[in-house]
Amino acid sequence: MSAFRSRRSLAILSAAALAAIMPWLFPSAYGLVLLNTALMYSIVVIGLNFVYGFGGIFSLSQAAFWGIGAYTSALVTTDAHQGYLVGLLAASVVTSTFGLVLGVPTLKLRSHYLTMATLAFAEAVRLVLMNTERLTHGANGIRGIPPASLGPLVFDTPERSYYLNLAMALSALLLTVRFRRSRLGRALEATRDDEMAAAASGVDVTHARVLSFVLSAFLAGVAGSLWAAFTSYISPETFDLFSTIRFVAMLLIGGAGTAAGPLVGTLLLTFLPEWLRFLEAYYMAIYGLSIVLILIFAPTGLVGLVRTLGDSLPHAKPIRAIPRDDAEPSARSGEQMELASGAGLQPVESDDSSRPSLTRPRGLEDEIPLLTATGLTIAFGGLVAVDRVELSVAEGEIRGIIGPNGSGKTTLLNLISGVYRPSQGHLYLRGELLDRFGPSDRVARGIARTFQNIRLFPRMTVLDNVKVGTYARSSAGIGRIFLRSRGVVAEEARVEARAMEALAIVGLARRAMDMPGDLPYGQQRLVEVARALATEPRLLLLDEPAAGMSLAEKQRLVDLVKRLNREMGITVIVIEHDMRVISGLCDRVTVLNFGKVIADGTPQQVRDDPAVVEAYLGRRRRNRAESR
Amino acid sequence: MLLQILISGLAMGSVYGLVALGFVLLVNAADIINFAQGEFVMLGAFLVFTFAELWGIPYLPAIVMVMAAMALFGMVMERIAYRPLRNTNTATIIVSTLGISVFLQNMALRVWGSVPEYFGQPFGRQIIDLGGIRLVPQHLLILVVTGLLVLLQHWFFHSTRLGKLMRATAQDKQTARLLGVNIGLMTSLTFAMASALGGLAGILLAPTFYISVEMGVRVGIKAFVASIIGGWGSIPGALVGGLVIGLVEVLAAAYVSSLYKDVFAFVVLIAVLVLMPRGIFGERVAQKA
Repeated sequence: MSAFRSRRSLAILSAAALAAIMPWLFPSAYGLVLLNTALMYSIVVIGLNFVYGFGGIFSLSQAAFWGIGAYTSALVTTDAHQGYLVGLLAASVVTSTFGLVLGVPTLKLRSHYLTMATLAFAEAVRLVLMNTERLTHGANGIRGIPPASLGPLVFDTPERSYYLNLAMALSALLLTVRFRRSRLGRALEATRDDEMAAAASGVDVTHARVLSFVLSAFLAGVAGSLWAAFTSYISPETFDLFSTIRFVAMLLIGGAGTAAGPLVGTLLLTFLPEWLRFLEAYYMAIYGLSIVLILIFAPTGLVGLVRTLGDSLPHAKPIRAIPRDDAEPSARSGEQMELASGAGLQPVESDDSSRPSLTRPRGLEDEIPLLTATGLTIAFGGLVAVDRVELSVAEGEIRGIIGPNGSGKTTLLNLISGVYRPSQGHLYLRGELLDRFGPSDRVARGIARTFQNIRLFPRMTVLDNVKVGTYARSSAGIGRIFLRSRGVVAEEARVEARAMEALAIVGLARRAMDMPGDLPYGQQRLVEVARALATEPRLLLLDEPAAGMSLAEKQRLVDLVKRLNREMGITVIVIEHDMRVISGLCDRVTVLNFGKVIADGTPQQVRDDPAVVEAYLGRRRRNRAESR
Repeated sequence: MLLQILISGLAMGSVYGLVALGFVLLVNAADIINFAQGEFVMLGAFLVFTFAELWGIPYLPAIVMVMAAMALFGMVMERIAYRPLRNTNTATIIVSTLGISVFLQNMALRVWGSVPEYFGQPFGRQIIDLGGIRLVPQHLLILVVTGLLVLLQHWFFHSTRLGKLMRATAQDKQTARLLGVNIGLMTSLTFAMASALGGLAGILLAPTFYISVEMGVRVGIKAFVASIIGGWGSIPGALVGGLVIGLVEVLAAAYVSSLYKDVFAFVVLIAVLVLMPRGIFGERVAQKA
């Protein structure tokens, strides 16, 4: 570990030394201009990486944000006669605001409609730049923009600008690195991979998306300000759709969703035409083909390619230390597993005293039921999927919900977890009306769930999947994450411990660094349970947790759920088709048919209920059974 | 006067519509936005110029040759820029088509140079006077050819076996594959059609403008906008969207200012996106939770 550390710091040190002497390595002034260009582009592309790489939103407005930043800064430093810092500040504020203004309404749109909206925005910006002569000087552009300066430092030569641009690009890189390993980075990647699952794990999906837009616009704005000061002349056509596409190409070729990708891709695509100069007249055509070839041979980008090659070498995969190796339980005999009792799942926010202790002993019955549904109804078109359901689940109970296919079980769960809003009726959690809360707000109030069709985040490790569950119980904001404040470091350590503990409870601590797709089906379900546990729920909703499990796995699942209920005081609602699982787990069972509750009682009672038999087997069979 | 303007607007709109049609075919068949679509137009125009003007081949055979060459080119492009990447994601393939676009523009610059060429066939720039209404015969030709083509493609997609197979592929690749449709071939043919349509648009457009390396970019963007206005993935939408853009442009140039004609096309785009985000003939599919 320490050898790794020192080797890493050596690498960083030599990279810094190389970066410092870079201006002397470029014999031509033109080369240095290109290097500056690449650094400024890389900031724009790092911004794009937030929206596309981490957020999965294919935005075509990046060059427009870049242009807004350049124009704001240029106008402030020329027509308004302000200093460079004022220009830079104005550029970042104005672009961030535009990012917010574009982000909020367009996030309601999906996939290509969202892309088109960003395209329309970009074109609108270009047209405004072109046609508001009074403000932007129209097609003539802005001339004589003064160079960047900070107090006595004036960045008026390519050598001097290089250090400024390098510092800015490295800061942007640092932001990426810290963001990625933060709760906000995980939230954004989770939203990209599976929006519904992210919300159901407590992630504020809208916040994540809007933040990604604002960050990308902000970085483009900073780059625009640097650009205007560096080139001293700007005009609208620089900031067109093809610039955006060039940035997208840089991102994809470097590696979208990686930290180093934007820098690698930008440097390569900026210098590639120069290296192809020997082809003389054909160099640009070959450049075009090279883009296609790189994409074919490195579809995940160059950084992705290097990583894949590295992984294929023996022992090259970096093994992160798993903090609690001893936390690995003897998964075979779940009964014997001890829960880390005192240090058990406490809120990450240790000062949050409003939440009740989660290690409440069983039998402490509250007067108000934990969950109440009154007249709960939802209709899709003419189909009433859940019809005036009355439900009351006591604190500490394990409630089973059964019913034939299409009887509305999963819909009921979707209503409780906030995926759907009821057409009529209300839901209460300990007397608090839930109607106005979406899925993530309900997670914050203690409702967690798993999905019938496993919905893990496929591009994140098992550990990161579970860490997403801690989102609602942590609070670090983007500023503190960038500065890596002591509070953030401590919170991140708590999150890591919490997630490892949740994995240990389901017996999967050893698989923490694997990708979910590499786990067998039954274990993937358990990762979902761990993710739900990481949210520190009072009420856990399990949607057919035993589906696809072997008999032995089912038994372990039953033991696990019982333990969660008994030792951690988590109330459970479980949908299941396997009556052995239901009988093994539940005190009470609610039976649904055609969206209505047709029976309610102990597993034995409902099994003998004629209405239930009829619902499952039909009337004729029931009559025959009776006549026998 | 107005009739004159309308006809020239419809003619321009038809060209945009043809290019947009190629766009939409590829959106449906391959789920990609093809940024080289405009380059097909440029290539078609330069090829017909080369065959008919430089090599002296008669106009009609020259057209057939251009269409064939463009269809072949579309299939080659599918092999190079789409097939190896079809299992990645949309953005990657879009950038790959951009690479092809850069390649084509710069090759064209090498082959045909940066000086715009003039190509006058079949009617040149003559104007006929019909009782006070001055008409450009090329515009009428564009309208007739586009009209015939629309009927032809409707017949092809609805009445021929191949057309039905292509539609099935576009609608549901998985199911089509299970039913034994050769998906690769259908996609390849769709690229051929999109490319040939772009080439035809270039042939029709050539006599109304100068032929230049940059012409593809202009037309490509307009066609892209047209396909959004019409409704993403809608074939009638592409044509209607193209006509709308053509009319808006010409009317804006005639009654407002020719400087602002591009502005108006995008004003229409933004208005459509705000008022009916799914376009005129957009998908009517509800989003499933």
